[in-house]
Amino acid sequence: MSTKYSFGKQIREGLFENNPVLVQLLGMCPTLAVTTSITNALGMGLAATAVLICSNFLISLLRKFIPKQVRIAAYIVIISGFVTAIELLMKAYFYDLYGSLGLFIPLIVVNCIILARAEAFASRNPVIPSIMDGVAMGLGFTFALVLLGAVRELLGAGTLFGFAVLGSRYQPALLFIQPPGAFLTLGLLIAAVQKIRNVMKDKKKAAKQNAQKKSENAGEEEQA
Amino acid sequence: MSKILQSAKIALVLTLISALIAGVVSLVNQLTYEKIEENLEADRRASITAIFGSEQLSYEPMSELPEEVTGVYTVSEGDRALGYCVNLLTGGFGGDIDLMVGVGEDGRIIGVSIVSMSETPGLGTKVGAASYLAGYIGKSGELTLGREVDGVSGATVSSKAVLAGVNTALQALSQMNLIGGEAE
Repeated sequence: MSTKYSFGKQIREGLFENNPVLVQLLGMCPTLAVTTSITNALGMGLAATAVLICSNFLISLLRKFIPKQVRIAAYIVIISGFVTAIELLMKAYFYDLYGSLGLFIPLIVVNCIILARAEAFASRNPVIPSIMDGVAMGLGFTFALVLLGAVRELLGAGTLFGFAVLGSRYQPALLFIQPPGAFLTLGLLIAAVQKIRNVMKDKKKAAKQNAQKKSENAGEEEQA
Repeated sequence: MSKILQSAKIALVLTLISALIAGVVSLVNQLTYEKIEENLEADRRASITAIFGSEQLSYEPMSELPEEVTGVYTVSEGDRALGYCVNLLTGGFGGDIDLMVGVGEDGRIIGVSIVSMSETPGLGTKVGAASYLAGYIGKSGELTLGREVDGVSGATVSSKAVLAGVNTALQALSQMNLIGGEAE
């Protein structure tokens, strides 16, 4: 059992190979809506990660107790409970961030990444790997959001984390912090990630073929 | 019979889970309630302080409000009454704009500030700039865009929303007989 789950592999999958946003294309609504700045993206990502870890934990813990017929209802109750709790905590301790994310915090309830991980992972796996899955997928979501938020904030406002980095002569391309900019940037990011994945796949294949050829060649030489 | 029992069991499990989650939420609510109230209060104080430009002011919420506004406060500095502050929501381009309007006892606007809004970044959000909102200071009576106050070009809907909010605030105060209706 212990060899079946590897945290390193889970993290790699969450961040890159199976990134919830850039590869699985889940959770597009918050991804497009809140990434007008890096701070918002980070806040949203971490809030969703916290919910994901908690819900994966509880759902995995109760997985043998929840009847199959009402599992989705049970998941939604659990997820919405944690979202409300996180919302209250943010309102209490990260009030400014709460102000700028506003409506999108309660909408974490319907973020399909969380329900997807509950159904696909937490309901079938033990508690510890489920928590790890929450961490990995949450970090992947946060990573994608921060990437998107950084590009959009840099081009659309000339700032990063609210600090001017492009100088006062840069005329911000407002398009990028408006909704069309979100679609454009996300499309380009997904294309870039796909390209990198394909290149890596090709390299792996080529390496395999090379190895095969080498062993064949070696065999032929021996015969000769 | 066994079918009924099974259904009952499913319902029971779902109820138990809901109860557990309700418990968690109410616990968190209890832990954060005071802090959240403090934050909201600090927010309100900051807006009122910014409008009236005085650190030593005190304010009291009033009751029996017209339904268009969410709060009316009498603002004073020591024994000296400074005026009224009206809090209300006005429909903007991207949802409600939470507005604070400070009005003197003579019915003239002391200041307008935006508590929160979700207008288009870079366009609609320009109505929140202090330099724009300063255009409202000293005005009274029914205001019209282009006459008493200017709009922000490219953000007509947001400008109109702020204007409508300010007009509603003034109307509410005169309805409550706090200021004269026809102050000019």
